[in-house]
Amino acid sequence: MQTFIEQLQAIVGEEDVISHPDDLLVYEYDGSVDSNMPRAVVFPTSVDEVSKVLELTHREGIPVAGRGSGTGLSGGAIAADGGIQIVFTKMNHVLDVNVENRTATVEPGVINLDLDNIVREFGMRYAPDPSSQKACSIGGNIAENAGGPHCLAYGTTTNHVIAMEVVLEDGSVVNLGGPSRDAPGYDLRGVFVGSEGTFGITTKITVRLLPLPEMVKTFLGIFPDIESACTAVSAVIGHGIVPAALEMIDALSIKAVQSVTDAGFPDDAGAVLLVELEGLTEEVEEVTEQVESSLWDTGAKDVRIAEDPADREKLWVGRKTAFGSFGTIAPNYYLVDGVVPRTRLTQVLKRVSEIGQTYGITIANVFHAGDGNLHPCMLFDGREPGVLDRAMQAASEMMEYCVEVGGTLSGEHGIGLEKKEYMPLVFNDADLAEMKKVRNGFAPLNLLNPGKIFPDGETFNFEAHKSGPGMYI
Amino acid sequence: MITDASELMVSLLGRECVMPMESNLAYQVDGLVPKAVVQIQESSQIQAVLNLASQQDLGVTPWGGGTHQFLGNKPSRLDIVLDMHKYDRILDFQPADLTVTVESGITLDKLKAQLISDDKLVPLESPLSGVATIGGIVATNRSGPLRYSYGLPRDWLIGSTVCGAGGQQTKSGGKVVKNVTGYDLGKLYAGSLGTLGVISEVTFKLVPSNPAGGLIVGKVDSIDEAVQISKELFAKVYSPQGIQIVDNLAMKTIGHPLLHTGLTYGVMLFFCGRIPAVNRRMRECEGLLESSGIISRQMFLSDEADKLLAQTTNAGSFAIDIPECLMKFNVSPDKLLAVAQRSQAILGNIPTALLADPGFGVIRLACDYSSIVSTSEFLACVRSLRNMVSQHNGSLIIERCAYQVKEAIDVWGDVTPEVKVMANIKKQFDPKMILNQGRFMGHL
Repeated sequence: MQTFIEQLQAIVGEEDVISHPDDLLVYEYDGSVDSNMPRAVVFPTSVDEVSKVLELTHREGIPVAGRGSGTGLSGGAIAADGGIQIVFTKMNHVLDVNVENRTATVEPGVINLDLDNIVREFGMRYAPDPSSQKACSIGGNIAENAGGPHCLAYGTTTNHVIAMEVVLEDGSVVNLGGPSRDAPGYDLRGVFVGSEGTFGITTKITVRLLPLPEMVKTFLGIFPDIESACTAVSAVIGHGIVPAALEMIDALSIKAVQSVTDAGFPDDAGAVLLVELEGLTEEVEEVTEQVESSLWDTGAKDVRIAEDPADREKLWVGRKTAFGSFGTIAPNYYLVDGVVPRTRLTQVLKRVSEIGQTYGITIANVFHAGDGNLHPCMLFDGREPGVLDRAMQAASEMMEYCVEVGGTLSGEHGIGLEKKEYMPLVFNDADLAEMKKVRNGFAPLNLLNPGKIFPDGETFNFEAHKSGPGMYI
Repeated sequence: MITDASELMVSLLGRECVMPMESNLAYQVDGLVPKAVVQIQESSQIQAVLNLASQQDLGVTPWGGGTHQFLGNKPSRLDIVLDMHKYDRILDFQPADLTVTVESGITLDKLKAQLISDDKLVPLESPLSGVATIGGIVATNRSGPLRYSYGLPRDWLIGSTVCGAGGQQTKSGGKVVKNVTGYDLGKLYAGSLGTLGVISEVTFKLVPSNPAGGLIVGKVDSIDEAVQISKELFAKVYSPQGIQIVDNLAMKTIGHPLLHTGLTYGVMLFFCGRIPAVNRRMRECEGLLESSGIISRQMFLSDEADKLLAQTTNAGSFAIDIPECLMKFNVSPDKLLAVAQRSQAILGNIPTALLADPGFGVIRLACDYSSIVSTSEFLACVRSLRNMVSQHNGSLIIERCAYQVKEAIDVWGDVTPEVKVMANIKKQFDPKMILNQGRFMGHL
């Protein structure tokens, strides 16, 4: 009689199963604040292997978590007790780039930035660009409905996935979506994206690509304080302009960034706003003056324009490495992913600051201002007695306030283990029951990523993460 | 105990909310006349009706403008129609946040008129937009010629409140433009033909309104030429926001007197956006048509272009000149030409109007077959078409046909493995099968 591990080995090969605790250590974590050691990790190389693994786990009643690169920030890839992980690092091939259809078909382990780099050779791009795009995988992006700075204009992952091959809980294989974006039937593709691995395991994805813009222009608005920078956000949108990206970096973050790289952010700025316009030359040129005047009129001390790719790259390196630079401020961090109506940004950031003061915790803000997606990042030394509890309390109050002003818990990181107990702030029992019906339709035994999204009274084990390089938001 | 559906509704909501029996004929679906038609004005009424219908095992069909009730298989039963068109308030319009929340019975035209006063736009399109309601447009996931740029209603839906089969009202999403808090149930409701719940309120994200619009129509000799020029246009940075390929019959349906004269196929290029950009796109696209040897071209601007956009949108469901059968093919854009040509060959001399979206991979064929072939012969053609399109990894659904024909064929086509998941979900949401029973894929 084969053991469970031996049965896994028979499916994927001995070398593609790990089960020794020493080997499993690295798979205890993702990018979030919780951890749990899986019973085993398998590295399939085909849909057939994934299907057979799920047939086995279904038969044995064993929970399964899919894992891409493990960059998730809400605990989505952490295995349930006694469960296994299916890791997609070996299913990382770009299978097809179709220029005429403007699509690419990829395996789930393909890295987001790798895909983007490949399709750029064909004059196209993959628009969702989470800050972790150097490391995160397309499969993980689908599970979390990943966003990124340029989702302001182009939408999140859900707007860019056309079709998926998915293995269900019992090992059966289905195709969701279709060759056109208007496939008949319930939009199983649409509801699957962002389901945090609880509906099925994706094994092949066809994504939509966009043409590269003719002109890109990036503005750096330098403000004396974050309030005036928030006002500028509303002013830009108020002019009828939806930029490709609209990102905010506060004073503390500026100092941290400039201490590790020269992004061109002035040390004495209270906040900087990155505004990126894209499109036809005429589209960009027509609104350039309006963007500039919006920034000046709301109190900018200076407005700079990056016209060439090198200048632009410098600004974006500053933005995308901001969180990595927080290691210069404190050894540990915890961040919140709340979203609010963008007109409430000033009010909410004020409250965030007050909460930080109440709990004696330093807070840095680098966030997607255009779509109201905050990322207050609490920075602390986890060795300080009581600080973890204070950070949790502060996060709780921030989320409550986001909901109170008409916002919600998460804009792009997902609920996972981390925020599931906060779901009743947004949804009542009936709302949550309706969501569970969909999960039951896909995975009746609830073996796929159980214990995520829905409140069950199980709080996570808060383990403060080290801030520093490799930290992306 | 009251067993008559109409009297049950009167006792529940009062006579003023229940249409007189003689009106019910106007709400028939595929030959079935409802036993009661309720005019909804409050969400609590939707809940009350569904709760009672669930208890009494009565079938319920939501009804917006009634413009797309031809979709789907013939319902298994039709007891109560919920007429939503009086449930039409704008609940929350936040221009600065680019969001709007509405009751589902508001028409698209009424909503757009309100939004434009603040220079905002909800980028939805629907045939008969003066009658079609937002709830109906979402439930049918209708779109128009600009779908290549704007996508589908589900792409703009950020929050929804739905009354479930038992009368329970639930919400998903919210009023913020970016949100991964819980499952995105709005995606599931969009296009579900009211089989999972009755859409009560919806929140959309908005965009700034378009100051300019335009249309260029080029006349070409063949569909090959039309598809080829479309490919070339889509490859340009100045590509139009949408392209429609139409044949002579479809152009007649669109209804512009000058356009169909001497036209074999037309390539309709739709433009919208800021004035300088629209000018540049139109200028460059026209230049490309000219350099491709397309001599016969007409250009329309502003109101005239808007009017033709609306007429072309109407033609998408052949809403004015209703054909005996309207078929919709979904294919990848690179298969569109092959599928269109093979379809025309299979249909032979059956009079057929073609309207295709080469950027999105959608072809609509409207056929008036009865003067040429029998219904059984036509259905044999449909089976051949389905075989052919499946070889191209596409699908074919019948959007319109007589209910007698629906009794002989599944309008959605063959049941695929994915339908099992859909059936599981339907069973979870509507265990007593009271919502639009039988109309959806797999007769759900």
